[in-house]
Amino acid sequence: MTHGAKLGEIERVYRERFTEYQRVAGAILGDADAARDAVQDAFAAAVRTRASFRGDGPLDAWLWRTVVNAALNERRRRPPVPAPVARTNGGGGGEEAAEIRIALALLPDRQRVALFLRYYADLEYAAIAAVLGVSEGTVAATLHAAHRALRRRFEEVRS
Amino acid sequence: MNVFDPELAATLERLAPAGATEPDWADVLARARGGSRSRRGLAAAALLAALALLAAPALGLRTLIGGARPHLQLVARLEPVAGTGSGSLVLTPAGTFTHPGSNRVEVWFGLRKIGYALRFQGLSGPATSARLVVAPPRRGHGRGYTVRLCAPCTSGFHGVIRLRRLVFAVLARRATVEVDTARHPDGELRGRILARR
Repeated sequence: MTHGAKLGEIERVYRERFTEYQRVAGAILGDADAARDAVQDAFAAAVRTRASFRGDGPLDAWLWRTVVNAALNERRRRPPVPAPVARTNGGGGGEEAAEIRIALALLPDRQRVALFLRYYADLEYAAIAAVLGVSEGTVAATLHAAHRALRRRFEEVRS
Repeated sequence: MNVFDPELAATLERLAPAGATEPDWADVLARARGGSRSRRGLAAAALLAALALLAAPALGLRTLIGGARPHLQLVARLEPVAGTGSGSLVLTPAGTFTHPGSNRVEVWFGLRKIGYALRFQGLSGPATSARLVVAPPRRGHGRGYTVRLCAPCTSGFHGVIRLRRLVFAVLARRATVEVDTARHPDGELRGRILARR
């Protein structure tokens, strides 16, 4: 078992996956600037505390957990954002995209984060479980619930 | 089962395209250093403050909080209840500070010990005992209590009381001291303890 993460390793992961980190943080925070800040702060924290990385899991999962926690903490610190309303003009993607945005915004935090970790970060269930600090079974159930909620929402919109 | 829905992935990809910003590792390192510096600064400031607080009473500094004078002095002038004696009790709670020109008194939270010195003269006989009598609070809950200072007693006796709450009782003018003799077992001398400013 390794103790501590190397600075070079953290930098490599940061450069390789920066876009994904930013997207997932953006999904949590709903704000691109805040998302970038959260990612930068999360990696700064990871650099400071790299000696505490126990090496009992992949470095990637540890860094994901740091980013997700930073974004969730920032989200808790901010005043609550009202649920978005549908915008049919502009906004890239038209009416359906607007509805999907609303559906995503209405998902519980854990479901939304799990969804983005799966589809943006392309993480396996085991890695998502490590990031969220839950079991793989819980990840499967969470994703299933998120899929079902999205499907239900789309069906409501289309019917 | 490790489910992946390519259609959903494509939809999400359209909704949240890659951000325009580029990774900035130098900024990460600068933030990391900034955080370390501020934490180190806070730790150093806390250490200095703790040292200043610890050193203040020992060095007799007047500058603790807004120029506080070290050690509140609590004094009881002992007057005769019977006979013609007199005396004094001086309490020096080490963790207290007074503010000149104001009624503010600082009492350290961790205060446990109060030193005292008892002096008397002109009694009808040897002092058989001396005690501190704390009356119950005028408002709220709580009972009165008595703390024995010495038995028998000689003038110049000094000791330590380990009661933090006594300071508050004294500040509320609820504490008196009594000196007994064989002739006057219920108190030959008595005096209320007051803060000397």
